[in-house]
Amino acid sequence: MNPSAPRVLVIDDEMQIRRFLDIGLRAEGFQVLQAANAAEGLALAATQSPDLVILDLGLPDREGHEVLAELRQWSAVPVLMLSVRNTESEKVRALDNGANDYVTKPFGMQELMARLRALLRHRPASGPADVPPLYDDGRLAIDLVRREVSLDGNEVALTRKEYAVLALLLRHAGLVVSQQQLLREVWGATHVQDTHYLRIVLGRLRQKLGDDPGTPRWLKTEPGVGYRFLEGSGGEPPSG
Amino acid sequence: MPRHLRPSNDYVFATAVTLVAFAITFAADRYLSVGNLSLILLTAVLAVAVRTRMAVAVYTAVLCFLGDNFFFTRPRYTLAIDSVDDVLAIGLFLIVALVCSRMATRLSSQVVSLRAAQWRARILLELGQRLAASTDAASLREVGTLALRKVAAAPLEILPPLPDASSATATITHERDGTCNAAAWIIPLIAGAQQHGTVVVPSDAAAGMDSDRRELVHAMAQDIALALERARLAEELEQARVQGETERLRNALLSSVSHDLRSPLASMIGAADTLAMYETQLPREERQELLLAIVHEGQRLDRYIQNLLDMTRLGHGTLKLHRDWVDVTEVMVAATDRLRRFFPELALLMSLPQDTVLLYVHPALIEQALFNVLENAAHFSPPGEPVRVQATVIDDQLQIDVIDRGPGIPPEERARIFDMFYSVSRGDCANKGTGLGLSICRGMIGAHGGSVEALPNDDVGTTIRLTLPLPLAPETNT
Repeated sequence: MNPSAPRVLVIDDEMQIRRFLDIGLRAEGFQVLQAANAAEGLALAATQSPDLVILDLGLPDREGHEVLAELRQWSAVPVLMLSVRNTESEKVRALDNGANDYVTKPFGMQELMARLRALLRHRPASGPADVPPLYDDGRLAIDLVRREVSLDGNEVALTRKEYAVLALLLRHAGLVVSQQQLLREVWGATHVQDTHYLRIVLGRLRQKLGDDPGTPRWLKTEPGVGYRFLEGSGGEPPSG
Repeated sequence: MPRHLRPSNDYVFATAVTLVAFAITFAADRYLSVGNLSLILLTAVLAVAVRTRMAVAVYTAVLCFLGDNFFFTRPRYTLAIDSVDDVLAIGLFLIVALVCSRMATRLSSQVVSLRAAQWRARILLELGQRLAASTDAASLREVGTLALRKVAAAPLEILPPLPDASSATATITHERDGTCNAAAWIIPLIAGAQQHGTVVVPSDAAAGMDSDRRELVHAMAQDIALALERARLAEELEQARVQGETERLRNALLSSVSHDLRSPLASMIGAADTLAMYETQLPREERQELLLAIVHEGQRLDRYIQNLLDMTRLGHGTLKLHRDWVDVTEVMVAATDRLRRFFPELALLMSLPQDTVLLYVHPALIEQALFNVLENAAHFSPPGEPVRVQATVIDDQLQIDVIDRGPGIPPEERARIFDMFYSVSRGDCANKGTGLGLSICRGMIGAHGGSVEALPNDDVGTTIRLTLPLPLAPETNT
């Protein structure tokens, strides 16, 4: 085992889930730490300083949200939440409490690995501020310094809100950004309930960028939770 | 109810009428012959006969006969009669008076009893109508009490059936005695070998009633008892029907659970077991095939469990809508994305609205509803045929059509496909659906004030149309 390989802490009470995550993660080249409950998980997080935490929302001894809150008091480690379907509000709450992303149970290994890789790219060591100020995938180019967006070499005229949303998503490329976070940062704290602002801006952005929502190249909707900027090659959209 | 005059008054009345008749006769004596004078007296006899009883009529007839004989036949002021003619006339007068009074009293008593019968019939008819309008025992008792109180003119009560059967028999024997010198007159309400309660008439009110009225009260009690019996039977039938329906749903649920949970499990266990046993012997592609089968069957199981959960939420009426503004496009994409994962081969043609159309709904529920319709269309689509999804705004409504080119649905079944556990048995397509998806779809769309319908296509296949109300456009800041 490569000692410099990123270490992932898995906190889940389901033995079978820990088992297949362990096998899968090791196959992907991660080192794996396992905890079956909140107490054990927090202890391992404190002593082993993992590079990533996978946290189940439903733990036997404590609620996942509490564990997350406690962890966030002393650690900025990226956290990926595991949740069951139909609890969009739970996911949003977790994201607002400092989780960095989530996957829904049951999930596939492919999906999980994609999320973990994105999380590791945005490790706090590098931080969102260190995102290179110029994004260019060959078709879409975004200059975060000059606040310019161009598609296939032609400048795209965006309103201030449209640009702000696009830039915020880009700074968290590959990660989900909750709709509350988008509303708070772009429109202000008093507008976190005005989700229709966001829907309209996203609709316009897609139109201006020619992004087909059915097979999105850049702007992916996470239903009920938020949006995600897909870092593409600008070529084929990821199959999904 | 009309009543006869009291007996003593009858004779006073008869005498008075006779006196008046004689007064008139004396006045008319100057102008009329004896034969005609007796017609005036005959009129008096008839008047009395119509108003009173036979005996009084006879009394009047005899009185008039004697008076006529005494005052008017010659020689006057004696009971003797000179001419044979007069004997004949006075004799005939008596006979005619008697016969007429007999007929008149019979007629009037018939009219009286006819009126009584009519009154009785009207009351019973009214009661019958009132009883027919009520369905439960409590309201039947209330209606019965009101009607009985009106007839008996007393504050009587209908008591609900006694739990103790022996006391019921006690009241029956009491009633058979025909006596009402007990504290109260008690009529048991019996029909269909069941006691449905008792009518209790206070003793003073019971004593004040004549036999007609008592009989009527009895008849009404019988009607009320029959109505109560009818209500009991109807309730029993309804209970049996509800039980039957629950039973049917439970059986359908059980068979669905055992089939739809077990068949994916069987595939998973079988595939995993095969892998465990022959892992080294199997070529790589076959191993991969078995592994993918496990993944797909697991996903199928997950979908089915989602359906069961949704159905439980809908069934308990605990479905809470967390409404949010959502772009129709995003909902449609979420549903079709999910579908593509499970039906990678399926050709899906989407037609989305040009502009952003916002709904104010619980997004996850609408997505699930649309997904269920899509999944249904995918099941019934022949290989190679596309499923089309198109969203259109018509006035203040959004229509989402899911159009398949499957075998179609016979017209008479179109409404039923949204019933729980309904699945059209259609040859090789049978057993693909759980019979829950469309029913859940209807529940979820219905919860948002929308509707779902199945329409035939012009050529082949079916269109399932979801209609949702569009909210007023919100103010924007973009």
